[in-house]
Amino acid sequence: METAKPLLSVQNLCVDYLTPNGTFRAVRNVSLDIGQNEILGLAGESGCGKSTIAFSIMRLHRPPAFISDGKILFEGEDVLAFSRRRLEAWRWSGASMVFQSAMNSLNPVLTVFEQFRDMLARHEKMGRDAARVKAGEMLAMVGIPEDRLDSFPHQLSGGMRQRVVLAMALTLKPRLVVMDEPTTALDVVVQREILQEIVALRKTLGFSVLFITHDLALMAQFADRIAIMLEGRIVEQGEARSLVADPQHEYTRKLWAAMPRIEGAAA
Amino acid sequence: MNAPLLSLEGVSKTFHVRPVLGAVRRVDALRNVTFSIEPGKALALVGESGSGKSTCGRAVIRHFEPSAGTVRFRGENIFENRTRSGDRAYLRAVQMVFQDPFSSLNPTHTIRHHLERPLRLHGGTADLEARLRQTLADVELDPDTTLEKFPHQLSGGQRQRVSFARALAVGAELIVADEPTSMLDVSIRKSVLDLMRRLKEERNIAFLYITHDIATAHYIAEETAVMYAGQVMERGPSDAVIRNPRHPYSRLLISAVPDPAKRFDDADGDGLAFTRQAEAVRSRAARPISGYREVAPDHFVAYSDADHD
Repeated sequence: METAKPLLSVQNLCVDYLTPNGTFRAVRNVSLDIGQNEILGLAGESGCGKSTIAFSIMRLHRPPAFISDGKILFEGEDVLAFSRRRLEAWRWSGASMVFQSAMNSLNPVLTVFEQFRDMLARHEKMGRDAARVKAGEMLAMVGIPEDRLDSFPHQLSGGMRQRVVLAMALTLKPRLVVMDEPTTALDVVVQREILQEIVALRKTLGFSVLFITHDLALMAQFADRIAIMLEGRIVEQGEARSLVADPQHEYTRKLWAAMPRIEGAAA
Repeated sequence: MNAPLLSLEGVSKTFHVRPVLGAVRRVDALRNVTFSIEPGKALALVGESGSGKSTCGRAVIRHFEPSAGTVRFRGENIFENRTRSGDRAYLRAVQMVFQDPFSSLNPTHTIRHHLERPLRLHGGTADLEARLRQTLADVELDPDTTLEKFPHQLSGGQRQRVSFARALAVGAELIVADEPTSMLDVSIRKSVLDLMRRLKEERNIAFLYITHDIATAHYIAEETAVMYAGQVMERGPSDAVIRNPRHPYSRLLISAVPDPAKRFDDADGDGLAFTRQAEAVRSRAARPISGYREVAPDHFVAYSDADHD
């Protein structure tokens, strides 16, 4: 799966938080690569720094968090050195992000179409009619009828909202989609529907995914490679299959053992 | 078979939603729900969000009266012949543990306050301190360090233990636990489930365990009922329902439980295949149920007359 040149290369990343009692290092010297068309899963408990990494990659981290050391290379270019204009152009078209709560990432007072149009007008200078056609196509791709374009976010179910966000994230054909717990707020059937769709879309469109979750079983189904985080460090990294079959680090084994499993359940 | 502690017979609940604009909408949150729980046993209600499982739990704690059907506790209809002492006994015996341990404890009061009040109200002041400490020890919290703390000084798992302690303090016989572990980290989830198991076995407390996490249902509940659109699709011994689901909806739900052995990219089709299948199963499952077939002892599967079309 790994190609000679990774799409994204995070090197020795350190992220600190300023607190009244000095700085707290949330991400400690983390290095990871994501290859072309690869799904990398990042797993760990809450507070281990996995979301901080995702936000740092998109440069969405806000004070009191700051990146104190390390590099983030996207196709060889340093994301941390991007100018504001370059960064704005890169978001959505180079890399996009899907957050845990779709309700909070969609604007509640704009229709679905207006949110698409915003992005398409800004990035592609696309007119209203062309944007409508494009947005309709993208919605159809994630299984939402086109007439939903004129709905407001609150008129959609949680699963549909997350699909809208996913469609938006893929519209400008980014090379990387960062997904921070994209299905945690959804129930299992809808979760499976959406992830199954992402897998198929990756085959047709071709993009890499950084997938963040605390659900190891789900990650094992979805990711090509998995990295396990503990207290700001990556403690184990490897092929999904081998991490399932033969976890090396004690913490990974502990995470596996902590989950009740149904042995021999019917499919 | 023992006499059930709690039984629901044909319980339905219809809400009339009045939007600011537009016509009144009728929502059938529960349709003809029937199940029972024996003392010291757990029944898991599983289903997706909006399936009516929490509404069921709220009917049991008497949050509202059902539109039809009866809820019996030790054989008595809980909405009939109400007396002050009867109400008090019921409120003592049936306790609720909520999903969010952050909002279910009062942030301005210590843990001592949270436990002292129910202990005093339902058991007087004799040996209060000793009972207080015992209650915390029962949920595996250290009384010395925990009593004077405020909720924000405890982790999510510890807070959830305080919620269970609060239920124990008044001598609960049935705990309605609505997703008690879904907001906890995976690594501590199991220890809270183990606590529930222990309370069940050692103290003969019955649980109505409401969850969307089917693996945990299998872990602690003897019986499982699968709900969709306000109706029970299938119910029976957890092992039978989860390993050998008979209703198409139960099969769909259980097939979606993450299983590390099944890779998503092994699936055939265009990616929408699973979605289409799920839609078809859901729309069939939403139709009114005509009755139940007993496919194995105590294992009931719903059927609809429309199935024979």
